Amino acid sequence: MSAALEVRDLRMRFGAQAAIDGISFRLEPGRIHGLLGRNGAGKTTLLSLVASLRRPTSGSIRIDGVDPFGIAAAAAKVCLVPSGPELSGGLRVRAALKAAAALRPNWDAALAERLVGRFALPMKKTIASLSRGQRSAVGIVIGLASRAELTMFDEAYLGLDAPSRYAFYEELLQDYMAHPRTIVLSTHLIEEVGDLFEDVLILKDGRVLLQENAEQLRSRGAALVGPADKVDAVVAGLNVVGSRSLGPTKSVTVYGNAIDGLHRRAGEAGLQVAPVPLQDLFVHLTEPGAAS
Amino acid sequence: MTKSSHQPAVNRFVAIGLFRFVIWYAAVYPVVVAGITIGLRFVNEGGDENLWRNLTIAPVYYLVACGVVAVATLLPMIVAHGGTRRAFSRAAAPMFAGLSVITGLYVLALIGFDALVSSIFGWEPTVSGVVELASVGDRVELFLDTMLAGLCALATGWLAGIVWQSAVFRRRLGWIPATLLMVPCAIPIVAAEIVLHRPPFGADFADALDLDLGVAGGAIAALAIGAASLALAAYLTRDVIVGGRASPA
Amino acid sequence: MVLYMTEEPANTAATGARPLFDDKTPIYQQIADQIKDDILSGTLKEEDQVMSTNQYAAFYRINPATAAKAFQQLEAEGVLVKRRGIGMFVATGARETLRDARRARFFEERVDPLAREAEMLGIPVDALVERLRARGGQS
Repeated sequence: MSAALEVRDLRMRFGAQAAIDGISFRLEPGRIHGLLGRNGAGKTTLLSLVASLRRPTSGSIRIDGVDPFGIAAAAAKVCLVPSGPELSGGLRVRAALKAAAALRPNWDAALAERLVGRFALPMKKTIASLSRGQRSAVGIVIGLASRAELTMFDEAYLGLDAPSRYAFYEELLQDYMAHPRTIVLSTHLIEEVGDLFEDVLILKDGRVLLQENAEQLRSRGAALVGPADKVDAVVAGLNVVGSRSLGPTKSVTVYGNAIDGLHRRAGEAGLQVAPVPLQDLFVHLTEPGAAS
Repeated sequence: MTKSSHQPAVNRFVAIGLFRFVIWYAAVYPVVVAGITIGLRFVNEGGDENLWRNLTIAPVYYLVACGVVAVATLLPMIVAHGGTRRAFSRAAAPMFAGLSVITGLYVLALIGFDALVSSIFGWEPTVSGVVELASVGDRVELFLDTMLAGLCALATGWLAGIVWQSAVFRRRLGWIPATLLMVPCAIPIVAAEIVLHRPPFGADFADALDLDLGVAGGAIAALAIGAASLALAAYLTRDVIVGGRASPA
Repeated sequence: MVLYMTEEPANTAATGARPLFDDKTPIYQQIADQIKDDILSGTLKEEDQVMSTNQYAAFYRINPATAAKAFQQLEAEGVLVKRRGIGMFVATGARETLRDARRARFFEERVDPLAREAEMLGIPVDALVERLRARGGQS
């Protein structure tokens, strides 16, 4: 039970400003997708549109080919765990979970109960009175136990300490493997979350910068360190997206399809080629003014 | 119009939410009013300052709050949990109609309660100071009036909730302009009170406007106002923005 | 590293920090290499069942597709065989195949860099040979 998401020419304007500036993409069902982008790239706006919290200015959103805004069968497949203020801040944790249980057709009460225990959530406190991390945990519990066919986490771990974040990643993976579904993780913690992605969608200034298999994206990047003249000779003609110098030593990051030849040339020049972590690739590719 | 298995869950959710909001008021209101009235009687030695006068009015106005709460709390949760706005409207409209019928019956019950309390203390029942209740026909008329006014009050609340959501989330207005925008939402309840000649001001306004539709005409007019307002509210609900942040941030 | 435990790996991963991968090679490559190492060292015997991709994914906290990629590679190389509905097993003769392959690359990948390093440090080849002889006598 996994839903495909298809977005066509989507636009969302706030006054003169376009938060989403005409984007089209498709998320394959049954995969974990990383949604990446710098602050203001449009991630949260995109997710709130997919979750039918508001109408887009123009364009279309389809869940398995159906518009979720008006059609209940499609709407029921979508679950967004927002990073912003909770819609139900005045509710007690118990009431918030009860509401989700009442409205979510695939709700797994046993899972919810286990997660509440694991994150040590106080059931009788109101959500507004919880710490940031505890509020995030409530969202995580609801997001996982809802078992929605398209589940989207928008910075779901804000305020959580490292052990709790790891607990989230583990629970997410386990539940995803036991009940495969389409998952979107919008995140800034690429280093920590990146290994969970199968596909990656990067937004920049309200547009799609790239969408690719995570492993393939990693394989397009390479880093070289060595004497500046040798490095320059080896990377000549390649798409250099980042470069730093320390005295006579130069470190460059290249990105593109011609990486295979690079390994051979680097070997001949006695240089080591290293893969570039996803986070570094992201930083270079979303640099203001960087060409994709 | 796609039928969805989600509708029953939304219906239940709205019903439980409304019930929770209404039940404590229904239970507490007569007790508090009776307590205060009895207390005042003993302090004032038979003075007629009593809150029973509002007996037919306050429950109707409470329904305005009820409508607002339905939109402000139930609708966002339904949408956040995969329900549609249409599902909410489909649940809310018939339940509001049912709730107004219950309110009509509730007011009749309150009058009985008033009579009971008054007879225990040997007082004249005090509601009769506000409405004539000489015959069964009077009671039916009071029930109809209350029910129709209640329907329009719920419509006013629903509209006000939608306007508030739109003002705050779409136009990003502060709460003062948002509140001012909600004032026109009072039109359904005010209009209903005028055509029904309901207290506290309806009769005076009707006189000032030289408007008298008669009992049946007034009831039909009020029903039309209520139905039209609910339809308008449901229409405005179709695209309403639900919670969340208004801007990309 | 003991990967072939009988208990659910997720339980082990629950509290401990994730075993770290290095940044030099893709994760699936590292998983494949680890499995090969375990076959070579005898930790994993021929005909043994290998943990499932899901167990690997849970243990390392990685996407199951990444783990599956390692298995696909090993299957393509003939190191693992899939038995439908049961799981992945170490292929018969896998150890021999792996040894041959590693041996073929051994001098190029291990000895040559060692020799280069020794030369850079001014360590004579005789000293290297002596050391290796001494170790060989030990073990």
